[in-house]
Amino acid sequence: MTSRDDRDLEAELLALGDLLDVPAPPPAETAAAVRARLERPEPEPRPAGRVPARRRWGLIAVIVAVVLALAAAATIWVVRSTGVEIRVGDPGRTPTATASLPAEREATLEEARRVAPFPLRLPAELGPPARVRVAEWGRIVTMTWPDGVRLDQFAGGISPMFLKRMGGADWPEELVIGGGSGWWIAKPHVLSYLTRQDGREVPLRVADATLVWGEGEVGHRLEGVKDRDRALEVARSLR
Amino acid sequence: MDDEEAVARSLAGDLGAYEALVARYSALAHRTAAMLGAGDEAEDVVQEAFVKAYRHLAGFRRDAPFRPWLLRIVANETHNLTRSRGRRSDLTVRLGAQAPVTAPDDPEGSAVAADRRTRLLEAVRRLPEREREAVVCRYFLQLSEAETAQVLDCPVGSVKSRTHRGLARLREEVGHDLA
Repeated sequence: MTSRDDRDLEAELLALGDLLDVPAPPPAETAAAVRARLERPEPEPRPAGRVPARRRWGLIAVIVAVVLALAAAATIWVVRSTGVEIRVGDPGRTPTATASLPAEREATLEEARRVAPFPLRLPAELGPPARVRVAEWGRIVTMTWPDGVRLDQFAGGISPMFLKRMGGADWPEELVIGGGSGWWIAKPHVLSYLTRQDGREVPLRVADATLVWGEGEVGHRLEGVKDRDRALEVARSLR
Repeated sequence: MDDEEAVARSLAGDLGAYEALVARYSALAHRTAAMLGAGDEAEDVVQEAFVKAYRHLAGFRRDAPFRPWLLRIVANETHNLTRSRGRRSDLTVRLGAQAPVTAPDDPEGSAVAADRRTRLLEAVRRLPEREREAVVCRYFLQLSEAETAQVLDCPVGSVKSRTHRGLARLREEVGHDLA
């Protein structure tokens, strides 16, 4: 062991620390909550089972984050891309029916362009889509092609809109697309929608091989292209 | 208003001053709680810690720094929580990947760097509790040895030896292919 090795490792740890992202509510919110508690008459009777002051973290929108969440002995990994959360090691139950998204309906391409709150793009590699659907009043636009290929473009926000569950043996592969990070999921997996109101999980269906990535505020899911490199080609052909 | 003044005013019953102090240290307190094992209950732990800190403010030595004193309370609250839940105090954090992307069209290079970070984080997570806490305080929270000693309630010598042992173990696990 040399001190140089130590310094390298220390530098690596400091750099890693800088990348660790701990969700926290806005400081003013915590300060106000603490003040409110101090203003209440004391001593406060606080029975067991405190009410968790749930999330609402002012989170960065365009991050890809890996959460090491540990429940007992099992490790659940959570990976985030714009508007999508991938949970590894937590396969969930397979949905028995196919559900649809809120306010999902057929639309023309022009109509989808008009209602989507982001500039809609087309993958040059695939040509014009066979069908276009909009959901959540334009926040999610789905284009489909023959052979089960579909591309979702959605207005990614602070909280995830889609949840993908994978078994512990599988692992999403990190890729770089358009300057940002993306994830390639090679195997079929359970896809759910998370409600905007309370984040409740609505299982949608079993999704095929999928590439997810974010560019700016827009999240993307390309499903049904089974070859990774081909999926990347399609993703990079968005115009 | 510096810490000392904020503490003095808080002691005089000025809740606005204490609110400012809470806002100042909120992010660091959340980070400390999460990294010492509070997991998704960090918000509750932090609120509890700030409430307790206020009630114990009279016992705070005015010439001492406020930051490690507060973090010690956060660490204690976190320990109480993990003990009451009967679980190990795990390092529960997320690895943000605003990681420098070296070459935008080099998925493999970036995947290698990401993999190395992930393995290092895993190795930290597997350290024995005392070593892990020292490593977390020193590098992830960037506290000094003296602050770490205060937060973990142990002598500075122990901080040095725990950190040293922790680093040695990390190097064994992932060290050789670290840059």
